[in-house]
Amino acid sequence: MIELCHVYKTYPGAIHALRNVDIHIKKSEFVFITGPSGAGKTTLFRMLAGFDQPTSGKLQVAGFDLNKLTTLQKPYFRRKLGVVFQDFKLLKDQTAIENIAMPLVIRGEKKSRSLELASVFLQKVGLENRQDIKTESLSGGEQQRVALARAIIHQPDIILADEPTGNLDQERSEEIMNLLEFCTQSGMTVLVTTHDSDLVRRRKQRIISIKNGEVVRDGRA
Amino acid sequence: MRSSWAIQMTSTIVLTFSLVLLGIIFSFIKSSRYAAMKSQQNVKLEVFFKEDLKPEIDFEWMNQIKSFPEILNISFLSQEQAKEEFKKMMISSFGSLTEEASLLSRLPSSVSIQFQEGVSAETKKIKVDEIVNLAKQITTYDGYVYQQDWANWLASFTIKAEKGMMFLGLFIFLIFFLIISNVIRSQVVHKQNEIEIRSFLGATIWQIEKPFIINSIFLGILSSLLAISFLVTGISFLKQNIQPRSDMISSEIILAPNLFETFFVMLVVVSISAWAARVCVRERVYL
Ligand SMILES: Nc1ncnc2c1ncn2[C@@H]1O[C@H](COP(=O)(O)OP(=O)(O)OP(=O)(O)O)[C@@H](O)[C@H]1O
Ligand SMILES: [Mg+2]
Repeated sequence: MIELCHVYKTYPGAIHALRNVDIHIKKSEFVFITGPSGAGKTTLFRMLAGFDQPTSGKLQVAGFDLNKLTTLQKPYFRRKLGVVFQDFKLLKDQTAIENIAMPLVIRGEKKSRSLELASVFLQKVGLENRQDIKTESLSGGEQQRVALARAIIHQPDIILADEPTGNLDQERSEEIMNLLEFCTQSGMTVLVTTHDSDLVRRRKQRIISIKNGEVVRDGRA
Repeated sequence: MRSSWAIQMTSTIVLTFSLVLLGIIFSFIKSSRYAAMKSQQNVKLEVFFKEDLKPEIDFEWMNQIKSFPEILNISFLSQEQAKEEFKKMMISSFGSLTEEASLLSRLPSSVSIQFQEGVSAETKKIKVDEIVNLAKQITTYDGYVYQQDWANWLASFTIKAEKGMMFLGLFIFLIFFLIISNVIRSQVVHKQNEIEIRSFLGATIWQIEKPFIINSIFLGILSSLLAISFLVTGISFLKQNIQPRSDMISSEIILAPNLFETFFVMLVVVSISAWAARVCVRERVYL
């Protein structure tokens, strides 16, 4: 499902965000990406989602060769992904439920049907009583859960969740992780970055550790 | 959002104004072309005589001319009739008649000769010489006026004016494009964040640009409809209030764009609007 071969990413000013990264992830796998701040986790996600091109190296995601992705293909590639951005990227002047329904509307689903399904997912992340509140008035943790619901509503092939529990207490974090692990049972591949080493330890999943842009560890807890 | 409405309103006004200008240019070209065509068709030869012609004697001359196949119509204006015409024209132009007895008594009688349609200018010229030579045999002959020169001047003026106006028209379309671009560009900047998020979630470029294109087409149609209603009102007002001076300057020669032409211009306006929106969105959105 995800294949990275000798991937390098260098930003102007000789900032080596990724160095010689080799990662292979199969369908329905659940993988934690850990590493200190500035290690290159978000950079890796940006590249996997096709928002950025690697400086060198081969990159294949969900059957698309990202080195040769054309502008016309890009939207259809992105529809195979569900991304939780570290900064959420929600539409601030729209309500929680409208934000969650967006991926379905973009795929051409009817508005009413999309909102119906969105309210189901709002429930899954425990925000049923925040449905009609504009996301700018939601708390950080609530916004994070809206972002997560938006990333999984369309049953993507791959979920990329950048710090999905960064603003949540332990109980909420466990709930969210359960939800993400549940997603792998319906065939989705899930990648999660996190700083929370306790949470990672408890989960017994595959862990890829990155440090200074290099993979320093790849295996189970 | 409120400032966006203000921008849309002001630009609608400017767009309407530029389209009204375009309509005026268009009507001007159409009218002068029509006037040139009419004057070319109605070119007349007028032969003047110091005294009224006597039908018994000059009957033959008139009949001879009438028998030419190139001649449509020949009419005689006596000195008395000429005076009446002159008085009428003075009154309609200046509102009153200053009695100039000396001037009135010197008005000649005239024979006005009209050619058939479709006779070439060269043939007309030959016929004019022929007729004038015949007229010179009449003792009271006083000279002639042939309007071909005026018609020629009007025709060449029309061609020049058309070129200039065409250039101006293109310039107006360019202005139109720039104004619409600015409106859409400000909207795109305003919604940059939303555009980015929608593209991250898999929206195609068409999905992203569609609302902007619809908006700019709406602006284009709104301003053309406004411009059309201004033009129609203006032209009918002009037609009602124009003072007919002669057959050259009458309300008949003011032509408004017809339905087909209006539709064509609107089609161009809509295409320009859509294209401007497309350009503006695409220059700022990177998928
Ligand atoms: N657009 C950019 N231009 C230059 N340098 C960048 C850019 N984006 C990221 N970097 C640098 O690349 C390195 C990796 O950044 P990245 O955001 O991937 O870290 P991260 O692992 O996600 O950290 P965090 O845990 O704090 O989110 C950092 O040193 C960062 O400063
Ligand atoms: Mg990060």
